[in-house]
Amino acid sequence: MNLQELLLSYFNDLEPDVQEVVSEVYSLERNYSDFYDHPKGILIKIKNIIDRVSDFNLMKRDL
Amino acid sequence: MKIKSLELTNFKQFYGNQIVDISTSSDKNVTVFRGVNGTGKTSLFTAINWCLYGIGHEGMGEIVNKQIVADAKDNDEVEANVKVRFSDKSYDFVAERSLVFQKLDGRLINEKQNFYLFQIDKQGQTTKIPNPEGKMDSILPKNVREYFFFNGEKMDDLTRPGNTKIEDAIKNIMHLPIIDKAVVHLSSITKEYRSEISKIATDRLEKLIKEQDNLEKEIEKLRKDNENIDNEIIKDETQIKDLEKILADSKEVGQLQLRRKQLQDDLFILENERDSAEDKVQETLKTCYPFFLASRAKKALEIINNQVEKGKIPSGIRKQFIEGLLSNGECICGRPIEVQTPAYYAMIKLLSSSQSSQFEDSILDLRGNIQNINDLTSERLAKLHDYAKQYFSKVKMIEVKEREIDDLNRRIGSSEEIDIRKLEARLQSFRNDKDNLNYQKGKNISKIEEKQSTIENIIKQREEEEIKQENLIKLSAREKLANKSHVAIVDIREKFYEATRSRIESETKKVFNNLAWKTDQFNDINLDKDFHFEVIDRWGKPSREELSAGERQILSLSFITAISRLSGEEAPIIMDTPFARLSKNHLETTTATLPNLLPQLILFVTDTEWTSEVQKGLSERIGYKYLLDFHNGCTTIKKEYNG
Repeated sequence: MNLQELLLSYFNDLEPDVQEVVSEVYSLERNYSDFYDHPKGILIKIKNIIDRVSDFNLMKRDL
Repeated sequence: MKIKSLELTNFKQFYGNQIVDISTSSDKNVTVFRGVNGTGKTSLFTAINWCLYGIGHEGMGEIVNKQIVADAKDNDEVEANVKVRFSDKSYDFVAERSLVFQKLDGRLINEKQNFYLFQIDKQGQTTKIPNPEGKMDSILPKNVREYFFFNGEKMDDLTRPGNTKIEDAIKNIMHLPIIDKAVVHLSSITKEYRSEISKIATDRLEKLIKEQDNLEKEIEKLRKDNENIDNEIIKDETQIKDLEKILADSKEVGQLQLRRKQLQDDLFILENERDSAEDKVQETLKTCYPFFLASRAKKALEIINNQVEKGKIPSGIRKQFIEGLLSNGECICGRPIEVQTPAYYAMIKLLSSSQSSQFEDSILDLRGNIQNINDLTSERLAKLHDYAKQYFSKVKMIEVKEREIDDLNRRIGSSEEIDIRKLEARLQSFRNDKDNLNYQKGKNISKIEEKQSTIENIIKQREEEEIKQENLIKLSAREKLANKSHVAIVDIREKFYEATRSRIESETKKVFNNLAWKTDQFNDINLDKDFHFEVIDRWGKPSREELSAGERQILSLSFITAISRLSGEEAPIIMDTPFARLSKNHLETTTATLPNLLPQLILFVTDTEWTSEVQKGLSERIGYKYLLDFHNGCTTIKKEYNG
C-alpha cells in the first residue's frame, strides 16, 4: 500500500458523513493546489459541501 | 505517468522533425541518450521540462533552431515545437508546446507561445483538455517535477548539509500541505458557523457556545503544550541514548583497564618467579660440572673396581712396612738384614712390587668419591630439570599475559578515564526530567479529556436550547459536522505525518543499503518528525556533514527512489549527466539496482560516463539507446542497437 492509498484508508475509518466531507474537502484542496497558487473561493466551496451533507442528514432524520 | 515518445521540431540544435520512442516496458525500462559535450543532451532534457511545464529553458539561449531561422525569409513564421506523448492511469496524453515568431529584417518578433494537452482514451478518441496547465499539474505537480527530472551533477545539493530540499520533496510529493490547508480551512469554517449561530442564538445558547469556544481554545493550548513537551522528551531521549552509549563504552573500557591492571600484576609475579627459576638453574648448573666428566668417572670407577676385584688393590704388603724393615736392618723375626745379602735382595724385590699405602688409600678414596659424585650429579640433574621446567613454564605464561596486555592496549586505545559517577548522575537527571515531562503530558491529556467531556455536556445542553430555536438546528448541525470533520482531519494529519516519516525513513535505508558500498560506515538514516534527516555513522554519531559529494548523490537518489516508490506517483526519473560524480563501486551498484526500483528511467549520458561498468550494469534493462550525432551545427538522434 503506497502512502496515498494509506491516506485514503484513513478516510474509510471515519463516520459516513464526516468521511464524505473530509474526502471531498481533500479532493477540492488537491485540485485547488494543482491549479492555483492562492485558493480563492475555496472556503465557500467547502462550506457548500458541509451544508449539503449536513442538510441531507437532517432531512433523512426528519423522514 | 510514463513517457512514451518525444518529438522535436526545430528545437535548439535539433533541426527539422525528429521523433524518438522511450521505453515503457517494465523489464526494459531504461532509455539512454548518449553524446559528447555540446551535442544536445541537456537540450533534450530541457525539451521535456519546457514542453510539460514551460520551464527549465532559462539561460539556455534561443529555443528556435538557428538553421531554420537562417532558412526563413522576411515575414515568414518560424516555429520551435516539442511534443511529449505519455500515459497516465488509463489514458494516453500528448502535450505540445510551441514557440512561434515572425522574422522581420533578420530579427524574430511577435513571440507567441502555445500549449495544448490532448487526452486519448483506449478507443483512440482524442479530447482537448481545456485547462492544460492545471491538468498537467494534477498528473505530476510542477513543484514536485524537480525531484523526478533533475541534473545529476547538482543532485547532491538535495542532501547537502543545511539544505531542506528533501524535507520539501517529502511534503510536496506526499501532498502534506494539502492536508495542512484542509485543517486550516475546516477550522476557519467551524468558527464561521459559530459566529453565525451566536448572532441569532439566545443568551443561554450564546453563553454555551462561548464556553465551548473557550474550552476548545484551552484544549488547543494544552495540545500545543504537549507538542512542546514531546519535543523536550525527544531531546531528553537523545541525551539519554547518547549518555547510555558513553556509559556502556566507558564501563567496557573500565573493565578492560581493570583486566589490564590484573594482568600487569600477574606479569610482575610471573617475571619474579621466572627470574628465581633462572637463578636456581644457574646455581645448580655450577654444581653440576661433574656431569660433563661422568663418562670418564665411570671408566675410572670400572678400572679401580677391576683392580680391587683382582686383589691388586690393596696390594697386601705395604711399601712403608718393607722400608721400615730395611731401615732398621732387622726382620720381624729378629734376623738381621744386611746389605748385599740374599735376604736384603729379597726385601728389595718385595719393595719393588709393593704399593704406597697413601696412594692406595687415595685410589680407594677416589673410588668412593667418584661413586658419591655420580649419585650427587643424578640428584642435581633431576633438580636442574625441574628448575628449567619451571623457568620455561613461566616464560610461556609471561608470553600469554603479554599478548593479552597488548591486545587490551589496542582495544583501550586512547580512551581516557571517565567519571562514571558523574555520567550516571547526568543520565539520571535526564531520566527524571523525562519522567516529569511524561507526568506533565499525562496531566495535560487528563485535562484535555475532562474538557472534552465538558464540551460534550455543553453540546447536549446546546441541543436542548437549539430545539427551542428551530432555525438554529440546521446551522448547529452544520457547525457540528464542520467541527467533527476538523477534528478528524487533524487526527488524520497526525497519523499520516508519522506514517510518511517512518515509511520513507525505512525505505530510504533499504535503498541506500543497496546503492552504497560503504554501508558498514553509515549505520542509520534518521528522519525526525519535521522530516529533517541525519545520517548516523557506526559509532552512533551524526555524519551528514562528512558525506562526500558522491555519497550525497547516492543518498539523494535513495531518498528520491524511496519517495517515488511510496508516493503512488508513477513518474519517470529523468537524469541529465547522472553518473558524473559516482565512483566505480557506486556506478556498479547504482546501475544494477536503480532500474529494479523505478518504473521508468531516462538517462542523458556523456561519452565519459558511458563506461564499461555502466554499460554492463544497464545492459539487461535498456529498452532504447540513442546516439546524439552533431554535424554542421545540428544534432541528429540516431537509434543504436544493443550488441
